[in-house]
Amino acid sequence: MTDTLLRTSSLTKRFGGLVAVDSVDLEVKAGEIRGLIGPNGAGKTTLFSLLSGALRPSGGRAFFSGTEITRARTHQIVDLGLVRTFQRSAVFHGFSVFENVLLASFRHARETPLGILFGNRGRTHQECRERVHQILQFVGLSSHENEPSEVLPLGHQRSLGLAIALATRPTLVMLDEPAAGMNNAESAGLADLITRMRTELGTTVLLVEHDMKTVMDVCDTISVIDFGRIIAEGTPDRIANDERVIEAYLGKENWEEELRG
Amino acid sequence: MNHQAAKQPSQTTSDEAAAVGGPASRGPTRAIISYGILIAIIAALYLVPGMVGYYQVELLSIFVLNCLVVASYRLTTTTGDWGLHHIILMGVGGYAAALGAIHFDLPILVTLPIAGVIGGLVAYIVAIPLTRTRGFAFFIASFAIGEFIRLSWLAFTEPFGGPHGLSGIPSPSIFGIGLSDPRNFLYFMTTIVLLCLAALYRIDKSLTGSAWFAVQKDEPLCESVGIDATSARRWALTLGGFFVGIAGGLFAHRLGAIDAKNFQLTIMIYLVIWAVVGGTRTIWGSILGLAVMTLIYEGTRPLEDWRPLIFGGVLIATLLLLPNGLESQVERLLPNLRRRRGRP
Repeated sequence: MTDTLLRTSSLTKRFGGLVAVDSVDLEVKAGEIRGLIGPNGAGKTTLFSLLSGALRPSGGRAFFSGTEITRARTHQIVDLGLVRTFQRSAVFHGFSVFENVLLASFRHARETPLGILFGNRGRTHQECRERVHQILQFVGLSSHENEPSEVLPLGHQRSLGLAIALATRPTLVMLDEPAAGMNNAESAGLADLITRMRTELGTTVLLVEHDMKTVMDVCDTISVIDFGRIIAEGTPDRIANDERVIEAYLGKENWEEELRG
Repeated sequence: MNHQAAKQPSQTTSDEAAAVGGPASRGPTRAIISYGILIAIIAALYLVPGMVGYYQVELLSIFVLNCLVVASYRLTTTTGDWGLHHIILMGVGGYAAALGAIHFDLPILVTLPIAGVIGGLVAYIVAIPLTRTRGFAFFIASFAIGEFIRLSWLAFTEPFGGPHGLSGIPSPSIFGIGLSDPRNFLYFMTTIVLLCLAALYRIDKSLTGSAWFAVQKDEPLCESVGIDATSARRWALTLGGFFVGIAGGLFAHRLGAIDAKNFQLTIMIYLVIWAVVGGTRTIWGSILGLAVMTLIYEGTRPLEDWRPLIFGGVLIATLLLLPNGLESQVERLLPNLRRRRGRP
């Protein structure tokens, strides 16, 4: 379980004169739940975009399970088993909840031209549908299967976003502020879900989150990013008392407030 | 809890007939009405030609052929690509069939698949640069590529016959039955078009077809779940080219001649109008648009000079009043026939 799954070496992204991600060296081991925190605009989402292939880095390299992904396209990276969720609630509008997750398992359904023309779907397709039911049950959306995705309450839309990501059968999921817009009960449920993703699905998690309580509760290790640089890394306890982190969050008072949520 | 878990899967497998694109609620009434209408239309298509004169057979032939043209165009729009080169691909298929029949004396059942494959091949080749663009840029680039192909038909007398085009395509026959009689050709064409429409319907109902729709809705999200959006767009364009290539082959064999004027921008604009007026969410929507516009076209024969104005007016009115086309109204009038709640 100590294999490195995701590794970046001096990964950099510049937008004109602004260095959004500044030579980041990050190493995520298989099976861990890693938190990535930092003040607003620190470069967390940019880092996700670089790793998921939505943005091309200006410098440095990235590897996922031994394969270089620095310049790979998003769908190729997903094929390798690295998938991200979005801050905005990203679901396919105009499709039902079930269809959303089925679409996300599109690559695993392996439709053939003959299957399409003569409607003989085969076993892989059947297995896919079964898996969709399982995933919806896992995130707790079973009872909403046939509802159109766009009328779901925000919390459910975020769960659906997670289900969509899980349907691609990832080894590592990058969660971009999954608790945003959730109430306390919902974010407690989310924390439980993230832990179960590791124990039941064997998924490694990279978590960007502003809700410090969730981060401190579920993460094994936390990396703190500020002005595009990793300024600290360690267990939740150590991070909570780290001088550099307190400074990045504008002093002790602010930081303690963040921790209390 | 356990009971619920066991029940869930079986519920959705009951509408197993539908992939992602399937109807959410398939009541028996709905099925009876849909199949009834479908069978009635097919029966009419085969019975009417025997009861009417040659002029009506001519009109019906054009209509049946255009069904395939508009349905294949609609397929390419499912990924959100509105191109202006579709009619040119029809010409590509038409020229391919004509050349095959003239120079190699190939029977129509061979030239049609060739027309389809060549149409698809050319569609794929032009899709490679085209899929690097989106929206308005795609629209204009596809027009430029289309003009390039059309002008090359005019420029090369050998083999395309230049401005005069190709004529003297030997009159086709299958299994010893001559198709030079317009009525017989219409029966043959109706059969081919229905087979193609069935294939287009299956594609639309498959998971692949739904993935293409998803590309139109949210391309970044598609990529992030591993759907290769560029490849999806290329495939949609290629298959559109294949089916419209077959339509082009039928066109060439029906007239026995073909030239570049048959594939001008005006006709492409008509094609866009059919699709917009009918709506592109379903195949039937686009065909409905074609039917309505054909009626308007025939009804305005005495006002020939005013036609562009009338068609422009209808297009603007549709865009303002029915942005989702006539099909959206059909669904409102017949709630029983409502397809999936989704797809607005």
